[in-house]
Amino acid sequence: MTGATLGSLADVSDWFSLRLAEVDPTVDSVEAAAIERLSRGVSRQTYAVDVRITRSDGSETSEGFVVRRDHEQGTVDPVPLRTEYEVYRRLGRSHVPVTVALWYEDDGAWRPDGRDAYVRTRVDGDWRLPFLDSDDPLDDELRIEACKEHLDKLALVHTADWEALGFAELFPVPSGPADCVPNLIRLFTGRLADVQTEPSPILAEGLRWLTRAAPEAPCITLCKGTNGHGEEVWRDGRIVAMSDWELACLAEPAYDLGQVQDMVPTIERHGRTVWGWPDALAHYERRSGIPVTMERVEYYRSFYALPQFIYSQNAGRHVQDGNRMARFAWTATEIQYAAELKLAAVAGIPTGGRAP
Amino acid sequence: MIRPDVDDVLAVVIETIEREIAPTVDDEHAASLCRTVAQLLRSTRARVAHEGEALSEDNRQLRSVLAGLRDAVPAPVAPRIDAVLADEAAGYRPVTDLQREAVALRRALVEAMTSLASETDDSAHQQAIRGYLHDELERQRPWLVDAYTGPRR
Repeated sequence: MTGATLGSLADVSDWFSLRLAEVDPTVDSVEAAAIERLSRGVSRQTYAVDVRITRSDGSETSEGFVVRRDHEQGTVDPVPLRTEYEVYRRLGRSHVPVTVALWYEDDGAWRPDGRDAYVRTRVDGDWRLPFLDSDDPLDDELRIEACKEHLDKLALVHTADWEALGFAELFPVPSGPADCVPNLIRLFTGRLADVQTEPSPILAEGLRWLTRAAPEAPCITLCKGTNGHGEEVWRDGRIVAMSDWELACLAEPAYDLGQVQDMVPTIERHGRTVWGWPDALAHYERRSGIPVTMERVEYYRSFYALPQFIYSQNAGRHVQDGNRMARFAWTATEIQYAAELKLAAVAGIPTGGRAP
Repeated sequence: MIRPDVDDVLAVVIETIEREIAPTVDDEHAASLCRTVAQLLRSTRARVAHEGEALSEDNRQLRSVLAGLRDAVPAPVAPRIDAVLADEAAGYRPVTDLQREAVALRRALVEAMTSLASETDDSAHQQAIRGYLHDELERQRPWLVDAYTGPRR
């Protein structure tokens, strides 16, 4: 065999039979029942695989898995697939809720369609929280509880023993709390050097200001990167799996709190603020023991322009290399411009009108 | 053949995708790509209409900024500014030429900015640079902001 074909149920059955038996010796055989490509992700390809597993005691179960791999044309974030897998492997030994990373396939005899892939368990749940947009007072409690749940899980990430879990081998380690921002700038500009396709004066100006305005960090923690609505798997009001670790790194909690998507509502009723960022940060500090100021959150909101600029440059590089994916072209144009506007804002350069 | 022009044809393609193709697509991933492609075409339509003039104006302004920085930058940077300023063509310029010129000018500007990074923000040089950065971003707004009208995926 010269590699499995991900579209072939027979190939996937053979592949899973071999590898799942290595992970779990009670597995006798695996029959793939369905393979579906999930459409949401832009950065990489994600497939849901349903299988029937027969075990050595004769029992049969239906189980779901996820196959993750780069696009044939590459990936948007210039972070190796292996790094994403290794993050999950390490987090599997922590209290952070994550999928179980089962195996990384780099054996030419089995790599699906000739590309590396890794397989993880599929966690039942939904990324959608429809009540987040609600302005109905009846949903206030739900929105606040979801916010607290998300902050609780971020606190687990930030209080994880990153050294014991082996993250120092995966990510560059700041020399101390004061080195958090310089370390991040080194990390991201290092990635940029590999993918940048054209000189960017606005990036140069933005970096000058990001360096100058770097806040002091209270500690060094594992950080997730992109987080919040759309990035985590929810079930029954709880986060059961935190996903999308492509911007994970060693930094400080404000790096993550600056990247929270839609999970911290500002709720005002009858002229009184019921919930907002100050409440969220107070809740977070109670759970983590780490103080986070709004100033640091704002700084890292601005800082996000840097990784955003890098992944949009990388997408543009793919397009120029002949990798004709519409999502790459979109990322390389509109998203890159959004990053440039953020960099302008960092540098205090006013830009007018409607932002993307 | 002059008409229908590029703008007309792109408008037809966009409307065909959105009105006739996308509604018949059942596959979720393909339907999502229809949205991405239609929005990209809207952006492309505006870019075709505006990019030549915008780049021409951008390069002209950048030449002026670089000429103003020329005597303030350190010795190794100055000759590179001289070189890009000397490479100026007259007459009609296709967009690809303007893009090539823009890359060279912007590379020189980044070098100059790096060499002048310690200057105070209110210096005339920094004000000229920041004025250019503002204008450069605003020139792209028609095809990178205004053209987008709906969900991208």
